[in-house]
Amino acid sequence: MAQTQATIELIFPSQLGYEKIAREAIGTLARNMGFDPTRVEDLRTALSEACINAIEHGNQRQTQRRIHITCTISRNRLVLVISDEGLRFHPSQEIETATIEQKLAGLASARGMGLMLIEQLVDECGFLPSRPGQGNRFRLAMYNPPRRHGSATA
Amino acid sequence: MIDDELKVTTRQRDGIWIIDLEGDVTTFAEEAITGAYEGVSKDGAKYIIINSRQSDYINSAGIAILIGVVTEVNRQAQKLAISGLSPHFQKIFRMVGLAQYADIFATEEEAIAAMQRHQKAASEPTKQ
Amino acid sequence: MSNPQYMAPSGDEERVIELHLPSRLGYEKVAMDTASAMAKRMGFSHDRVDSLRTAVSEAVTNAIEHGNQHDSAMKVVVVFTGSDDGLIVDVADQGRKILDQTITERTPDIHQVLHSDDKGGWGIWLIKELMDEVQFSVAPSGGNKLRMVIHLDR
Repeated sequence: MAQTQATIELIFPSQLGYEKIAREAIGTLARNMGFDPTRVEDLRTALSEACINAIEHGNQRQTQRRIHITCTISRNRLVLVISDEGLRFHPSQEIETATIEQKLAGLASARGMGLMLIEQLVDECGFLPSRPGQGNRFRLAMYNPPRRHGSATA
Repeated sequence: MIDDELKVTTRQRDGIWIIDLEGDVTTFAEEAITGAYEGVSKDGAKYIIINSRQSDYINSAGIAILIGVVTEVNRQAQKLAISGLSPHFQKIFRMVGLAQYADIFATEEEAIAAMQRHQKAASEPTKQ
Repeated sequence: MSNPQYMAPSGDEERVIELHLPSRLGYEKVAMDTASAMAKRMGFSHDRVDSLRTAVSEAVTNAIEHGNQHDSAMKVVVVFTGSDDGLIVDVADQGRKILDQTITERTPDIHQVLHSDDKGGWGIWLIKELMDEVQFSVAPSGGNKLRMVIHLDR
């Protein structure tokens, strides 16, 4: 399907549930690019979590705010940038580190496992430096064949 | 839009309570899952299986609900197993560490067999 | 969940999903899966979802092949608007070639279509058969726009 680089964009409201539509659309792309089914599942889960973060945190669940996904694909790489309107900024580049023991003991929120999961599921991920007038931009990339845990540069 | 995309039912098999989940396990599932767990606990359940009927969508908010159930199970000294997850979600459950607190089985039958072993062990006199 | 923000939005204006695709065959699958994910969420039956998938596929394929003449730099924009009554799907191309209006009126004959190079007429006929409302227009920017509506039976 993709001989050279191509860009697909998906824009939707900040309401929980829409991440399911995004994962279908992007999952189809990844499958057609030849990623194996296990990695397509990984990507679908990672994307859902990134969308939920953008909906809940970045856009504070204000339905009329938009989530914007830009998907750039080339022969061996799929890059997603998930942007919100930045009503609340992600505090830093840090990724949640609470352990399950802390969560079970009630010491840490049982929520917020999203970023930790994404990190384990894709080859690269991280927030892009913020630009004036823009919200949070979270980037994740997957290579075919895999290239685990590289650096997150655009 | 339809957000209620999960059906939760409970049933009993040889002293083991099974909570069947059919559909999406997300933030919207909290009341249904917690309610079903509280229901079987009130009926005196000691052995509980949460059986996902091949849910295609489980997210971190859904996992958080299950962590909440695990917390209660530990407090009540119950035994919990999870079955019916696709290989992908079995992996996700291992990643978040849930697998250390609830045994995870591919099928309901395997979960039942494991629970029966626990029942048997509990009914035998403790060996010193 | 007791938080009211988890509830469905009260107005219809927010239920809009926008998808931008390159004009290359294969990408219509992304639009098909986006359409079916949204339609399932809205409560359409399986056979209605299948009808919608076929109609969306035909409309996007037409836009890629005819409207944008396979120029992959040109975009096909698909906008899905959900309401309590149903789903509106707008498919717009950049109008490298303007649709011949007579094609939208005719009912193709199987023998004719099989022996013709232009299979486009068949697609439009199918869309009209499958959807509840179909409109063709030329956008002010010069592109072709096809609007199709599928009603929720309630």
